[in-house]
Amino acid sequence: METLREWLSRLWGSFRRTSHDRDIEEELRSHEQLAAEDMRRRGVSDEDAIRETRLRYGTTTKAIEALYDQRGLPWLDDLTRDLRYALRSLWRSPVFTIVALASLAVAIGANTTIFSVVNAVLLKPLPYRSPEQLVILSTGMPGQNQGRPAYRTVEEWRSRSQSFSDIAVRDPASVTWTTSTGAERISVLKISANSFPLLGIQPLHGRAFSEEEATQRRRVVLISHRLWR
Amino acid sequence: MEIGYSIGMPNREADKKDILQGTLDVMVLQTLATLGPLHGYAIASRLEQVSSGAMRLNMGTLYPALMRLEQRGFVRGEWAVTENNRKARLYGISAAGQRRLTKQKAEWDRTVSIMYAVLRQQD
Repeated sequence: METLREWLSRLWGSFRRTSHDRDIEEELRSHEQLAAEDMRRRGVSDEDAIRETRLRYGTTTKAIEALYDQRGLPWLDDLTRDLRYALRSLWRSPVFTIVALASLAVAIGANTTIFSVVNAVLLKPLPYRSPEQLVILSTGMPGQNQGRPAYRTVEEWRSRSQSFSDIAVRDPASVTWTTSTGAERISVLKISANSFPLLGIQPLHGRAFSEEEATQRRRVVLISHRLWR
Repeated sequence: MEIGYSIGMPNREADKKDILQGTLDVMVLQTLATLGPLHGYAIASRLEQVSSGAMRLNMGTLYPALMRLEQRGFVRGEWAVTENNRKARLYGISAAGQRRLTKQKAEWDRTVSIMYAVLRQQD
């Protein structure tokens, strides 16, 4: 408790300064004078008295230094002094400062960019339910292009597997989309009906595929938000 | 008190400076408790006198100690005018200071008696 009180006083003391300084000096001088008087009373000569006092009780300069250390936070004072000196030096050599700042800016910019990309791609969890549990299964020889397993294979995996709670299939393709205004090629993703429930997500509007649509193998389409617009 | 704590908690390293500061604090508090408010030189003289010359306090030791005691709330300093019409700063012990003094005295008694018993042991 007292330590906190002391620390707060010293924090306060490191800001307010000059009015106190005179008082401190006066107190110390008076101590010196009283000591010298006592010596004279004991028969020591005048000049010797002052010297003796300094020897016995130390000099006021040293005492003032010690008091300043006690009053404020010396490490804080040292830190501010060093910072001011550093800033002054930088100000005095502008070319160096500009080059240094430019290098820092480029480095920080590059770093930030790289990090944002890495963050979005690698570090941020996928916006699905339990993203850490999602895996991609594919078949193929090592070194060759990994291919999508046949649908029947996946069905086998699904019914027999103990390790996976569910398996869905995805197959990217591109189709032609014809409208009244013309035709364009768009990319689609053929997915199995259980994809949305597996990922734990819902479409913005409407609904995902239903059970009968799956069993009846109907061709149903979900369009993306952009297409909808 | 640092010495007392070292006995109780063997892992605590007491700085030499801490020990001296703690000891001086107690001596100043006792002096003020006995004699009432004093200015710095009077405290120094009294301690020198009571210790038969052994405690000769540097201004650079005494005044920071007084400042510390003030910062911790054990002592209160006030400006006053002495008989010789001189401006002096008088230091007086506070209630918290009294409590601290009592506590430190008890610890010192304990330390001293332990050390005495241990150092004077005979086979």
